Amino acid sequence: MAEAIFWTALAGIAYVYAGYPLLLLVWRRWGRRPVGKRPKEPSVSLVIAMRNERKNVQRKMQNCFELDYPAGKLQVIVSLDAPTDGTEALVREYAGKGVEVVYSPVHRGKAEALNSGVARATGEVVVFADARQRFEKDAVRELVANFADTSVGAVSGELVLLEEQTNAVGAYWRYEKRLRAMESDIHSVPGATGAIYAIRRELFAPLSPGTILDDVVIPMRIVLAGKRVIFDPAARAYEVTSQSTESEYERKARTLAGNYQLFAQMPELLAPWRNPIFVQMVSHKLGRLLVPYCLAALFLSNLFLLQGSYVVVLVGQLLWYTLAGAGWLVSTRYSESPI
Amino acid sequence: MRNMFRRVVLVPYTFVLMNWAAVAGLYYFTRGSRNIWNPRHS
Repeated sequence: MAEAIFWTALAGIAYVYAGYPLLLLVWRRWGRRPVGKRPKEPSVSLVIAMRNERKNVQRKMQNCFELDYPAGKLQVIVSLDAPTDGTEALVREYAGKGVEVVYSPVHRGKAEALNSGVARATGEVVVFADARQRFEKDAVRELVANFADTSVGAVSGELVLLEEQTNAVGAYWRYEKRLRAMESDIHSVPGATGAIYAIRRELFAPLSPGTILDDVVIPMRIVLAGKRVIFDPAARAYEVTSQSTESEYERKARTLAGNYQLFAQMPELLAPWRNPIFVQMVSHKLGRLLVPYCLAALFLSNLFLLQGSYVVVLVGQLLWYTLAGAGWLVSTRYSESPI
Repeated sequence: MRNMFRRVVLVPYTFVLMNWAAVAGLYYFTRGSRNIWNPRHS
């Protein structure tokens, strides 16, 4: 029994972190679907949901004005979710400069703020952005060029973390981006980057109140509607961040809570006959939710297997968790800079 | 040398913490949705 649990757990972990990337590598080699990207200039609505972003408003608005896209074809909408730090007054200063403000006096959450923003949108394409990240000048142009391919329903850009190269989280994030690039080449990525992604407006349906991962729910609805969601690293947004392991933990916990919500709200994602990227969804999203339980099962079952090479594995696990404990101590001591 | 040690111990720490985040995520989900403002990246 312990042996069966041990090997099942080990196989699960190995598949999620190594087997799946290898599968994508082979799959992409034989099943690559190039995107027919061509320059085009459809009307675009840039929707930015904000709550308390006082310190980011001016920089973000300036960044919107500096985008390399015809002003007559770019509608900028800021959807305010009952800010309390003076964000509203700052945003309204830009109302006379072409920025449209949608204001909710009641705090309703990001999903509802996005719904209100998109309801105001008139562009053929809707680009979603967050307040803190800076778009590359040609980011919108790069995003919309992908819509020349009629099979594409949404495009995720790349968020570049300017300090990511310096820490373990950065390595993890780069691994994630490689997975996304391969998934995109094959069919679609199971989710976009919230800081920079674009969709055909006709494919948008209002989000349920309390939706945590708008940047997964919106793209996955588009995949279920039969369109592709691709990743285009040529469309870039930048964020300067200290990116500590602890802040990444907070983000990860929020994202994974959103994944649980996603499967509860959209069970059809787990139906292979409904979801064209079922394998990617199960391997990338569901797999990540199950790995911690596999790790626990691996460790506990190993305690009942104290003979032969199992002992070596147990020692390896004990060493790994001891090092993790030491890492926690180091991280606590040097909390501002992980590596 | 000190940097090398930090690198060696922070990789398993990050791995364990990121996996623990999945358990925390389940807890947050069962308790109700989290505050999603301040998204970093996803």
